[in-house]
Amino acid sequence: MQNKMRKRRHNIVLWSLAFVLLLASFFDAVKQSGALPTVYVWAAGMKGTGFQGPAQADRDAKTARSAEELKKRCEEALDWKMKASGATSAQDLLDRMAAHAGKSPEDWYVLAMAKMGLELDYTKYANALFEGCKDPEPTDVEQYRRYLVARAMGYEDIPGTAPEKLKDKGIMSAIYRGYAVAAGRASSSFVYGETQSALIDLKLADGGYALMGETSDVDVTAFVLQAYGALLGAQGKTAAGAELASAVRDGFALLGKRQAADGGYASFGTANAESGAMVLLALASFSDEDITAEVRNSVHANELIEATNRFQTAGGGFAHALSDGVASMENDLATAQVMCAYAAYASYLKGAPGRLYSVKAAATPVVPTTEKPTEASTEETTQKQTEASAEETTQKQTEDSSEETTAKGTEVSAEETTEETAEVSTEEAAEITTDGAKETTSDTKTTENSSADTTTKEETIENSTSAPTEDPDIEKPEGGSSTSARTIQWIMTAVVAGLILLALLANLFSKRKSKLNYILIFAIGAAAFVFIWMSKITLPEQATQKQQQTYLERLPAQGEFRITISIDQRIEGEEALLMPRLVTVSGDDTVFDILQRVTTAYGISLDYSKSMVGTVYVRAIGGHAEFDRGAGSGWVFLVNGVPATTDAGSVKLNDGDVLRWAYTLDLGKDVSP
Amino acid sequence: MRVYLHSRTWFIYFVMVIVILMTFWHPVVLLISLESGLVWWKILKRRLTLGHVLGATALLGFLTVINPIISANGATILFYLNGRAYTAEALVYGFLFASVMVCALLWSVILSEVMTTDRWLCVCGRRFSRTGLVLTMVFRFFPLFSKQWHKIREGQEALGGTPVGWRETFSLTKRELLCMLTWSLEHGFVTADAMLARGYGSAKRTYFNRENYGAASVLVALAVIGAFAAILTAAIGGGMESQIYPYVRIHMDGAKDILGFTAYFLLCHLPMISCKVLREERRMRS
Repeated sequence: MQNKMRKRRHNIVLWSLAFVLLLASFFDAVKQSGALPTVYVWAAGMKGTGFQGPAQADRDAKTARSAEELKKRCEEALDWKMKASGATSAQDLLDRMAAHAGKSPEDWYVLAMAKMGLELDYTKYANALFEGCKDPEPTDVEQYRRYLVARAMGYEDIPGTAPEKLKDKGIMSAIYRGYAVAAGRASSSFVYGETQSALIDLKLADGGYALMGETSDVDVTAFVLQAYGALLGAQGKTAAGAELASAVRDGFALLGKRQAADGGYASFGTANAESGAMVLLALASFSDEDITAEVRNSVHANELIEATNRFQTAGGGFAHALSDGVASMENDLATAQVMCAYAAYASYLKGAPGRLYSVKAAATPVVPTTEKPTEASTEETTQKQTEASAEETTQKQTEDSSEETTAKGTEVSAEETTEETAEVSTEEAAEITTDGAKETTSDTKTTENSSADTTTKEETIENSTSAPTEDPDIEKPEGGSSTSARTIQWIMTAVVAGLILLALLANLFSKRKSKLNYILIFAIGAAAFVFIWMSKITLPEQATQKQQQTYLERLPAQGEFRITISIDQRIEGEEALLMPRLVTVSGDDTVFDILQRVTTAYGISLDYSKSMVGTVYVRAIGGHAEFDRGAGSGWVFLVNGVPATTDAGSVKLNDGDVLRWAYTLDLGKDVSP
Repeated sequence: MRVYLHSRTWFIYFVMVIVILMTFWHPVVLLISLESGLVWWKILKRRLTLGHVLGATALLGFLTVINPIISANGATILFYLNGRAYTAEALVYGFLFASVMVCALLWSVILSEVMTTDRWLCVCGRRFSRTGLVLTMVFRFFPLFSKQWHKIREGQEALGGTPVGWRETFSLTKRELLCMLTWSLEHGFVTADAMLARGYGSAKRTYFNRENYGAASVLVALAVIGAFAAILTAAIGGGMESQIYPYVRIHMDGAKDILGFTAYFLLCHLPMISCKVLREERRMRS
C-alpha cells in the first residue's frame, strides 16, 4: 500500500508536467488561431463593400461602348480567319493551327484568342507547342515566344530552357526576355535588373528603339514599351522602377511624335495596321496606376483605333496596307496582331490587365505533359457550368443545393453562391493582376473569378456530407471541413490514438501501475482529440490562393495602398525566398501582419513568437532561422533601405514603401543597401 | 592479475560518448549509441522490459508530433494548423530530438551505474578534492533522502494508517516534509561533528586512492582520445553532417563519414572489448 502511494506521487509529477505542456501548447495554438479568422472575415467583408473606386466607375461608363466595339471587331476578324481556313468553329481553328504551332502568325492568333477570353481547349495546340521544344537548336526568340504563348494559355511549367538563362544579345531577345522574366517567376532580382537595364541601354537618343541603326522604329519601340509594362507591373515602385518610368515616358513621347495626322502609324514609309496594333498593345500594357494620364495621352488612342479600323476589309480581316485608300487584301499577321491589340485594349478599358502575356496565378500550376486534361480544359467546363447556373432562377438554385447531394450538385450550388458575391465585386475581380490571360469583358471576368473560386470549392465540398453552407467563401478555408484537411485530422487522430495505446501498454508492462496513470493518459488523449478537431487546418494551396486572390493582389481601396516586399535569405547562388513584389496592404497593417500574409500567400513558412506586451520576434522565415549562421545571425527588416529600430509588430508603412526582410549575419550591420 | 580501468579513463569515455551523441544529431550516431547502450544495459544485468521500449516509443512519438506545433521552422509546409505552418522538417527535428533524449537517458543510467562515488572522488583527484567531496556528498544525499523519507512514511502510516482522500494525504505529506527537514539538519550536524572529530580542517589533508594506471587504462584512454580526434577530424572535414533546417540533408556516404562513424562505433565499444575489464566490473558490483 505504501509502495503504491509513493509511486503515485512520482507519477503525478511526471504526468502533470506532460499535461501542463500539452495544455500550454493548446492555449498557445488557440491564441495563435486568432489571427486567421480575422483575416478571412476582413477579406470577405471587403468583398461585400466592394473595391470599386470612383475613378474606375467613371472610366467604365465612358468607355464601355468603345470596349464593346473593339470586341466586336475582334470577333469579325476571327470569323474571317475561320472562313479563310475552312474551320467550323474557333476550337476547330485552334486545332488546325496546332500544325503550325510556334510559327509567327499562329502564335499571335492563339494569343489573341486567349486574350479575347474564348473558352477553348488549348491542349492540342499546347502539346504541339511543347513538341516543338525538342527542336535541337531553336533561336532564343523562338524559345521566348513559345514560353510566353504557353504562359498566356495558362501553363506553368514549360519545357525547355528557363527564360532568364538565355543570354542572346539582340533587341528582340531582350524584349522577349523582359516579357518572360516579368511573366514568369524570375529567379533573382539580378535578372530583373539586368533584363531591364539591357533594354534601357538600347535606348536611342530620341527615346525610341530600333532593330539596327540610329533611327528609332515605331514597331520596336512599341514592343519594348510592352516589355516595360510587364516589368513595371511585376516590379513596382522601386528605384529601378523610377528609371524604368522615365524610359517609358520617353518612349511614349516618341510614339506621340510619330503618330500620323490620321492617327495611324507607318513603318518604313508605309502606313500599316501592324504598327498601330503594336502601339495600341503598348498602351494596353500599362494600367492607370503605372503611368500618368499625361504620358498616356501623348499617343491619341481613339484616333489610332479609328485609323486601324480603316484596315478592316469587308470580310472582317485586316489588311497590311491600304491600296488606293481601301483595305482589300487580308493579311494573316496583320489580322492576328490587330486582334491581339483590340482584345488587350478592350481588356484595359474594362480595367483588367491589358498586358498581352499576363499570366495565370502561380497557385494553380499545370504540368504540361501529353496527358489530356489541362487547366484550359477544366476551366472551360467550369466556366460553362457557371454561365449555365447564372441563367437559372434563384428558386432553382436553392432546390439544387438542398436536394442534390452529389458532387455535381454541390458544385453547382457552390458556384451559384459565389456568383452572388462575385457579381458585386466585378471590378475587384478584374483587377486581380494574375488572372489576366482570358479576361476581356465584364461577363467573362465574373465567370473567371467565380470559376477560380469554384476550383477551390470543388475540393472542399465534394466529400462533405453536410449541405453547402450559406457563404462557402468565408466558411471553407477555416472550417477545416475540406476533404484533405479532414484526412489530415484523421491521420493526426490515428497517430494520437496510437500513442495513447502505446502509453497504456507501457503502463501495463511497467511495474508501476496506478489508476491515475490511466486517467491521465485518457485525459491527455481527450485533450489532444479536442485540440485536433477544434483546430483549423488549412492546406497550403488553399491558404495561398485565398491570400493571393482576396488580399494581396488587388487594387487598393479606401485606406489601402501598395507596397513592395521582398524576403532575401542572402545565400550565394540560391534564389531569394521572395523577389520584390507589389502587394496591397491596409494602412493599419503592421510590418509583421504583412509578412504573415505574404508568407502564407507564397507558401513560405514563418516562425515567430509574440511576447505578453505585443512585441513580435521573427525567428525563422522559410526555414532559415536565427543563429543558423553564427551568433549574430537572424532576420531583420528594412523600410526604404533604413534598418528598423523597433519590432515588426509596431511599424506601419506608407504608400509606396519598400519593405525588405533580410537575413543578417552580423546583427543587421551587413544588410544595409 | 586484475585488470581494471582507471576512473579517469571511465570518465573520459563517458564524457566523449555523451558529448558526441548530443552534438551530432545524426541518425547513424544515434543508432550506434543506442546499440552500444543496450549492450551496456545487458552487461550491467539490468532488465529491459517491454514497458521500457513502449515508453520510449511513446515519448518519441509524443515529442515528434508536438515539436511542429511549437516550432514552425522548416521549408516544407505540410499544412497550416491554426494559421501556423506545420512543417515536415520540424517533424524530423522532433524525432531526432526525442531520439537524442532517449539515448542520453540510456547513457546516463549507465554512467550512474559505472561511476560510483569512489570513482568520482578519484576523478576529482588531489587538486579538486573539495569539489569531489561536495559532489559525492550530493550524490549520496539524494538516495539517502528518499530512503529516509520512505522510512518516515512507513512509520507515519504505522501510526495513523493509510491516508484517505487528498486532505489526509496532504497533511501526511506535510508532516513527512517537516520530519525530513529536521532529519536532514540533524544529519548535517552529525556529519559535521563526525568530520570535526576526525580532524577535518585542522591540517592539510593527505590524498589517497587505490587506483593506479595500468597498461589497460592508458591504452583505452589513448584509444578513446584517438577515436575522438578521428571523429573531430571527420567533422571538421565536413563529414557526419546532418542539416535539418531549412531542408533535411543527411550525409551518409563518403570516406569522412565512414571514418567518423567507425571511430564512434569503436569509441562506444572500447571498454567492452576487454572481457577482463568487464569481469572486474561485475566482480566489483557483486
